[in-house]
Amino acid sequence: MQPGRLAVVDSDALSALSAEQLQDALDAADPHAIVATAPPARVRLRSTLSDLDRPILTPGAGTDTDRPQRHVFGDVEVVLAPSLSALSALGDMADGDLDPATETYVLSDLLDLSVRPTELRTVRQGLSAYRDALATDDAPRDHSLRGSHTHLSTGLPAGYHGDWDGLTVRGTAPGQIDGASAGGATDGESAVASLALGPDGTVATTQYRRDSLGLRAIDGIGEQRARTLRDVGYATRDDLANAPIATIADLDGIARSTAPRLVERARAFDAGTVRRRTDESLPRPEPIFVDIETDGLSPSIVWLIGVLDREASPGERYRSFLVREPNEPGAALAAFCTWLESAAADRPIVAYNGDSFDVPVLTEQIERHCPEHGEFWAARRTFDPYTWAVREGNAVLPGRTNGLETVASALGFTGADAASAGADIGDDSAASVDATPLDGAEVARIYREWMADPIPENEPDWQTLEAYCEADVRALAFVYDAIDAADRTAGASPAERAGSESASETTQGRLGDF
Amino acid sequence: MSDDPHSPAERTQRGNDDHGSSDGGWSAHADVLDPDHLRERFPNYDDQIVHTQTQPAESADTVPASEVLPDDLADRLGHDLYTHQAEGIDRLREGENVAVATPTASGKTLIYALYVALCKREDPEARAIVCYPTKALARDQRESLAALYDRLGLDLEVAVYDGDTPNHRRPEIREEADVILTNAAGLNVYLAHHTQWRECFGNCALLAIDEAHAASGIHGMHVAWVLRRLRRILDFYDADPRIVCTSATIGNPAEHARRLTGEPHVVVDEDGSPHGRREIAFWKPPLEEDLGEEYSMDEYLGAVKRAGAATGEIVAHLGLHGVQTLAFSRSRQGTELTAKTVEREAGDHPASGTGGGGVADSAGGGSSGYVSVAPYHAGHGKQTRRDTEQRLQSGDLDSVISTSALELGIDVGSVDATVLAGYPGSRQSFWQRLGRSGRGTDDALSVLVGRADAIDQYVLDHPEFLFEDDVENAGGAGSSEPSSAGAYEDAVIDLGNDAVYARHLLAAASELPIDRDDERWFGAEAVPDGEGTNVEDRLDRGVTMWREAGRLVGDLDRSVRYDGPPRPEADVSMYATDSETFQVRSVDGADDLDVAPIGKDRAYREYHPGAVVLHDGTEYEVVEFEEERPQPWVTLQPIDEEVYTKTHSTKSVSDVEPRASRDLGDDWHLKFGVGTVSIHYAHYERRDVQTGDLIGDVRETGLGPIELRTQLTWVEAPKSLRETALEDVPLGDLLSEPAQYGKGQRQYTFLGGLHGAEHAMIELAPLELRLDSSEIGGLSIDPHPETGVPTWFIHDAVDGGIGYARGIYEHADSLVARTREHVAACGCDGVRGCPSCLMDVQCGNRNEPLHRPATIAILSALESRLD
Repeated sequence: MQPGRLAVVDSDALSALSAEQLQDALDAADPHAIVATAPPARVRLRSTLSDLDRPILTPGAGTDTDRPQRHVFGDVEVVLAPSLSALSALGDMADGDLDPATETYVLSDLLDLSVRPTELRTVRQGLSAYRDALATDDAPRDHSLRGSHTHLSTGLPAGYHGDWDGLTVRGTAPGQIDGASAGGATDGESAVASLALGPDGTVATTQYRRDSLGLRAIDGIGEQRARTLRDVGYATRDDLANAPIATIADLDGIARSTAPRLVERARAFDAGTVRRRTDESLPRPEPIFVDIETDGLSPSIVWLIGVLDREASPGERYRSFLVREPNEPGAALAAFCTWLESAAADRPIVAYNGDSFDVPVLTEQIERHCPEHGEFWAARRTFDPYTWAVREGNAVLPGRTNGLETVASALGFTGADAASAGADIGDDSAASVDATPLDGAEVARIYREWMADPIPENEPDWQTLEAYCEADVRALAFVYDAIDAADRTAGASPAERAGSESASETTQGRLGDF
Repeated sequence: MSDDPHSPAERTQRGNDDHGSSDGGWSAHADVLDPDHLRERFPNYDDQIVHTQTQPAESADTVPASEVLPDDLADRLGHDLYTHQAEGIDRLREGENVAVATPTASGKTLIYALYVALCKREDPEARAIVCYPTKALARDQRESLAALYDRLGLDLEVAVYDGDTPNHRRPEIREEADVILTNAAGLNVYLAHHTQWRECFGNCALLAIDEAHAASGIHGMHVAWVLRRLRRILDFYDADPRIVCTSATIGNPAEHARRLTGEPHVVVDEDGSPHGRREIAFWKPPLEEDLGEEYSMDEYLGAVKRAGAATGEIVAHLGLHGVQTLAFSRSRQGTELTAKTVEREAGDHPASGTGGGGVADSAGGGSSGYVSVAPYHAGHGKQTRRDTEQRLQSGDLDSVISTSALELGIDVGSVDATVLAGYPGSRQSFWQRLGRSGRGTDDALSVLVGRADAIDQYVLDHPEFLFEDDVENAGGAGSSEPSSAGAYEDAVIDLGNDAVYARHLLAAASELPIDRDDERWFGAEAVPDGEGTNVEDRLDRGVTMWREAGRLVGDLDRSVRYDGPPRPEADVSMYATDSETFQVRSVDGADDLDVAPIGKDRAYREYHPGAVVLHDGTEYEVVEFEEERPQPWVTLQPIDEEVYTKTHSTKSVSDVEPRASRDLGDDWHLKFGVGTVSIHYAHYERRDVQTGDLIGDVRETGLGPIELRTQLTWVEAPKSLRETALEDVPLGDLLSEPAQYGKGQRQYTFLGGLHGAEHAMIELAPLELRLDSSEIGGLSIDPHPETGVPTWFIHDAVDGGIGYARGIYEHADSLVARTREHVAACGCDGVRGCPSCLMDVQCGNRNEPLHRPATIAILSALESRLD
């Protein structure tokens, strides 16, 4: 079964994006439909991309606002509720038209949050009226809805998930909640959100930031340069890739030595190759590839460790160390360490962004739950391709961002590569990888729900989660191989080989990478 | 054993301090400010000195170092300890936390410096963390501490760890330095990486907060929460360090230290250090023109000779008589202007033939119409400031005019005299500045030059205000300054501001998961004297708020973890209460403005479109005000005209919730609580700096109202007051009502009485509390829609509150008494009051209506019921 894909845009974001950037986001998201959070966004969308061939949904507006509108995207039902009266009518719909076997998504702009630090409370706005609208005479307060529903609101940010007195609520809008913290830097704020809605209620979210769309996705092209290029007619990466270097070098704000690099990067972007910039080599011997799943960014447990060993006998072997019972948090760690000690003690451990996350987390958890392995673990060699390529500047990775899945996909890694190898796990896995849209946050959330209340209804589909982890581990190995294979001298442009680029030209890790 | 226990950290060591001026300080020229001498020698002297106070010399009270330290250290130290230093160390060794509140330059630093040495003896792994208010101070102290440990023969590494510390040095300092000097803004971000600090935190035996009184107001709130987060992490690594808070003299050292750190402290405030004789002169500049009976604030300001100009004349006079002087001015521009005045006046001064005796090392002598002077403020580059500091210290400069930048402990040696252009706003600050003059046991001279406003005039009229309790201490082996509580303003830290709390809670969650045990740091028990603040179930409410906002996951009975975007601590702005701060930019895109981001309330009030602001001596106009972006900003453009802007605002207070109240009888009530203050800075005027004349028409700012949910104190008066307040006011003294008012002269006059009471209390609040008057505001109204009666409010002007309104509620009895007395005693003519009693330069209503007789009647009625 196919998930339904939506791309969500709002007015602020649209006003900051060029038409080419918007098109780029839509190409990447490949949505079944586009959600505009307010009428001005819809207008702007239509005028910017006049040949748009996907439906545009605008909650809260339209001609026939009293009735809910049912859509099917992929194999998933999405019902647009433009108003409270439409919501009331939903109760009637539930009897006949909606499939109670799959998750139904109700989309509106009727719910949002106001965070009020001076009062120390968060106000869930619109909830009362919403529930009242869903009630019918026999079934007060939304019990009229049959089957399982997720309530999507354009008033909440994509990635938000909450249980509002029994209603499952998720957000769709690009950006952050008003009044809540935005964390460190705010440059390159999110412009377009993309949601993959699964038939079982899982939702994977991607946010496309301004600095990773259109020309800005190319390292070295910031807002200023993008504008300069656009002004003289080079508005897309393709345009730039086909531009004469001399013309680019003549532009204000682009040095003679920089121009060739920019053009080469544009050319390499979709060609999907790694470009080495130095002669630094990768570690030897053949590493172990690792990815971990936890219960969040400040983890209390590592419940899944996925490991790929390509030198196992008789042939490469993927293993999963899984913790089904949350009250035995150290089980997977101990098993992993024991295996490592016996099978691969002298091989480096490779994890993507491992330096910042996987390795420190494993270290802390091992010390806490199986300290007898502490010394062994502390002596392991680890290698992080993200640090090596991006932070240390040894290579330029293709893709809009330097996130693992983006890079792997730009290099040509497909679900098939993940799924076929997943034959180890079970033949349902190929189908499940497609149908269950997952991202790291969603996986963590699923496990947290299980931890909070380990009753049978909450038990996760372990196969699906393991397949997700395996796909990431295989993607990592794929990227690693691509880096290894990248010809150090032939691949580098003359401009790159000659002289070192200054630190400011190096790709710095960006907030949006993770 | 020498009896000269100078703290190396606060005074130039004797060896380096030899200016060669063995003339015993300024007193060799003892007649320099004698009125007879002045009449002869000072241009246009007209009895500006309204009062002189002399404080006798005090000798040192010491304890042999061997009574406190092991013999080998005592020997190498080479001198006795002052009694307060010995007491401080003893109390620490007994396991107490210590709040040292002795005057400036009394050697407070030595207390914790020696305690660290003792800790190291017992545990070679012991570490210490010292938190300073500024990076400059930390660096300055590093030199002194390193020199001390050298002298003591101890191999202790003292290192500064702050934003300027190079990356490659950081791991080494974290892992190996024995004493780490840092600041609260730095700690705020370092705590997120506490695993890297494990060595240091796990062995921390001492946490010292230096110049703790600087942690007050908004900044103080943030420091208090950062310190709680730090202590929570120290506890996680099983460390339990002693705490030392050193501060200048404030009214509430124990309470302040407790609020700042969360732990009780014993107070050490009996000063054992010696002082020379001090003469303090109170100088009242004259009116230059004749003003009529009724005049406006602007006319008045134009007429009074500025305190800065008078200061310049005095410094020139002193310099020509060989007295090295440090003068304090209110603004950076003030320092520049006053420095120019000094040069000019010295050239024109009739003094001549005073002979030699100019400051010894200056080439060419100082008596021939030339006085060397330099301005000093934070806008100067580092190198320039270092130069000035050194030249002052070496005697090369006759005088320096500085902002508060030189008030804190940076070592510049000691000058002969200090001159203050205006009362600095608190007694603590007053004594701190005075303390810069007088070398060791040499005599010192100080002059306070009054500005035109109410608080300065109050101090000039009541000099005893500065010396309260002096009589009680006269016989004691104590300080030449008052030292007991009540004689100094209280430092204010408001732990009740929920918006600030919420941000720090989030940062804490990302450092370590939160559970019930964290009630200790973030629950109701973390707020001492929680009366009037809403701290019930605070931890639960805070966690619930963030969980519902999607930033935290879990529950308190097991564990709550952070689950949001990285680096939540970056949202803590140490100088504002919400993360919606505006950047201040320069129009040509250059980032040379170096102005810290401003809070939204300040942006609306002072940086609205069209506002003229002064920065680093230059006038700028706000040409862009962009609020809709995720990172709002204002853009400034330098202008050439000499104008200033005055903003008019309308204000309302609603959704008032009392939290504490006093029923004073006869339908009078004094209350404290929270409310929504809506302020609309809708219009502004441009005026000429020289003449105060209006230029052009009143303009619109184009901004909507700003709403603050904040803390307030208010007085509800009985309706009968409308009559009784005007009982003794003859018809001819009633205010004439403006055309659109419509409720009659009597009611308008009554409103003038309420308004005056509100102003006067706000203007004199600095007598009781350390506060920044731009951070409080008021509103008077009859009737208020919610109270239904004549009411005046005094509110904190920052979102969530800052503790000033609370402080006013707590000090209401003495504040109202002082205010009534001052207004009643004011010598102004007419009924509208004057800037010395009722007029407030910050009034958004153009100081109308104001009626002094009605105000006096109202305040008297209130005062009699407060006792």
